[in-house]
Amino acid sequence: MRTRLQTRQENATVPNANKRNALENPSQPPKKRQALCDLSNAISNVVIDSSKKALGVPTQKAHQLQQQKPTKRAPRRSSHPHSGSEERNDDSLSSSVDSSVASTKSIRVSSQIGGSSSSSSASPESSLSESPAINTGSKGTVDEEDPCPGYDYDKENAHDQFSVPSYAQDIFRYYKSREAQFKVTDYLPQQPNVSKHMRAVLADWMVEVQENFELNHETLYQAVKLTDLYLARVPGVSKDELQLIASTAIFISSKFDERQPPLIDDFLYICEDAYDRDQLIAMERTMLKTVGFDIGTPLSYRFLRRYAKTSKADMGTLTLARYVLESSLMFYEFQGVSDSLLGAAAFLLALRMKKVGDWTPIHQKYSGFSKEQVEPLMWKLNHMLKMRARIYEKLTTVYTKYSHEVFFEVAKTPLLPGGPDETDPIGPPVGL
Amino acid sequence: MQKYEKLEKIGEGTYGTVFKAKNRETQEVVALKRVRLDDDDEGVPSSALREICLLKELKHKNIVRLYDVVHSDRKLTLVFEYCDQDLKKYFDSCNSEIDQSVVKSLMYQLLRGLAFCHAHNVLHRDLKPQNLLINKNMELKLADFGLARAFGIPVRCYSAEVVTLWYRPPDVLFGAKLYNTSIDMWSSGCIFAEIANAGRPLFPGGDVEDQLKRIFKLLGTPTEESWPGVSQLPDFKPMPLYHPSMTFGQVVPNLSSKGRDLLQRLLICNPNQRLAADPALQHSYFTDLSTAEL
Repeated sequence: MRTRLQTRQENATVPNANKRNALENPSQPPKKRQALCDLSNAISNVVIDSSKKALGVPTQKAHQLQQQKPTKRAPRRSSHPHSGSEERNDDSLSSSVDSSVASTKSIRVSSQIGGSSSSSSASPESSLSESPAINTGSKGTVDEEDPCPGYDYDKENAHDQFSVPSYAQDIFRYYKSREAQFKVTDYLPQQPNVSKHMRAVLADWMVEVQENFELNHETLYQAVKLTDLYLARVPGVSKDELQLIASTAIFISSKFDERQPPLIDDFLYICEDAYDRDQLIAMERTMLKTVGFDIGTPLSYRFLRRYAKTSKADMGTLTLARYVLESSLMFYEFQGVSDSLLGAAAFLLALRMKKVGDWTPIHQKYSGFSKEQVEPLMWKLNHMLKMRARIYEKLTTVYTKYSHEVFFEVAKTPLLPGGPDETDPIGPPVGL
Repeated sequence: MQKYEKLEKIGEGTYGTVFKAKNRETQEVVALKRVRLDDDDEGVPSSALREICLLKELKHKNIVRLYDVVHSDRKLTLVFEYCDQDLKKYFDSCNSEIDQSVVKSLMYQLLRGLAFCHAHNVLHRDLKPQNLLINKNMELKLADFGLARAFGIPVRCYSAEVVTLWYRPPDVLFGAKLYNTSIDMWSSGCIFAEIANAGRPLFPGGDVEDQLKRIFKLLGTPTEESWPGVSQLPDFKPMPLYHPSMTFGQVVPNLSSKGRDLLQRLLICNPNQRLAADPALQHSYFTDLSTAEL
């Protein structure tokens, strides 16, 4: 890890695709492809392990394990409308950029299939203008009053069972009620061995892992959150431990949410054996204890999707907002901001960058935030993106990812003119 | 683990062994679920990880309470509140007779626990009498969250290898990987009928095909008309066209007509039309239930 972080910071010229290996040893050829081959070997070994493990476990469960593992690295995203929810909803975006043009095609095509076969889900192509006409006058504060009583997205979508319309509102209210409990405190003063820059490198690397393992974005966001919560609660972490912490966070988040989580061997491999199995298992235990096994954290990514769905935003705008949000993962300064507000600000920025609208009572209704609450943070995110190219010039994983056509090349969208001066500090407005 | 004195083995969960034990300090009786961690393993099994993490969030009187987790090198021990028996054992003790007011109370508690799970983005995915605990005050608690998972909105594809066969809904029997809270509602319907019949399972199928046949003999074989999209499910295969040969009155003779109405709304093959837990709790079957004491 020592070499990794140092090398990476110093290594300005390595092309993006080779970055992982450049971290450890810039002279070695890129190993990305090789890594995936090795992963599949690791997988077939573990099938045997899981059958061993299944002693005393009901056969159904054992069967499940055996059924799943071998298919692990097979392409996950088929175009059958019933075999992959990814295709019928915006999760299609979790598809790795590495997957070729063919997959791009299947994503787009099948998202249309999904939309029409269920004749229900908010079609990705539907535009903001379909939203009921509404008065955009906004209030300074959000009170209990419904800012848009004539509109009920969940009722309109009562037939789209996969959006769980009967519980969606409850669940988002629940997420919001839990936000305070997972607030990341300003921990760097207690971490003399960790800098903002190192944390940024770490987050950039986590995005790369998410892409290579084809993990869900929720897993990425949850892992970044776990990493921050851990650093906020365990002072004096050494630089050597950082990658182990991040890997463990991804490992835990994957087990929680992924159908086929990567295996320990996969993580050891991507860290180029900087750690061993025992260290990862020990860190898993430490991390779970540190966060009290309470890992169902509310995620900005989920809030953002909700705002986009309820206001019927197009996929391009949602994707752009995701680019903004994912970029913010690199910035320590934004980790203390509430996830629901960060999602809202990223969304407003995308609306304005794409010039497709502004904050409406519908957004206010489903976010609980007024335009006045969201706008200052939005400007700071715009500023953050502007500054990213300057201060984290080499951390381009997110930028490169969202420059790909799978993601509509949204990263190339021009930022808003104006806003905070370039000399202004990066981070949320004072008081957030 | 010095804190607890092991008393006796109670059984096996989805993963790990369950013991009855006593807290040496407080004398409180608890249930310990012990998961062994092997060296060549993948750390904490994801089933245990999910059960712990989800139960940390789900605090409700109809959901078994997780008091503590003791995590050592070699094993992981979950400390649960102790309940005297599960619903299956309770059935064994009732000699094929059950008071219909007990049926109503148990069913209400099951639905209330389930509504709480669903409103907190959790699918149980393994509801069956063995996983419903009952304490001496006849309080029912959802337990064994080893197959449970948090769901997002919209839901993604999850495993189709879930829910014990007898309680598995037709969509999942046909291989559906895209499902939502309705998966648990089917199971709760099967359990409702089983409680009303004092422990006689409703659809005790031998394999997937037999399971589907048993279901369709009672409810009629679904068609594209009654269930649009059914023939597109991954493991769909055409089944004999059964017409309902029995009435619910014959299937659950002791259940009131209101109860039968509720049951029929839960046991709907098309998952989109299956009743959700909250409206089920509002059903007129429960209006004369004194919920104050539950």
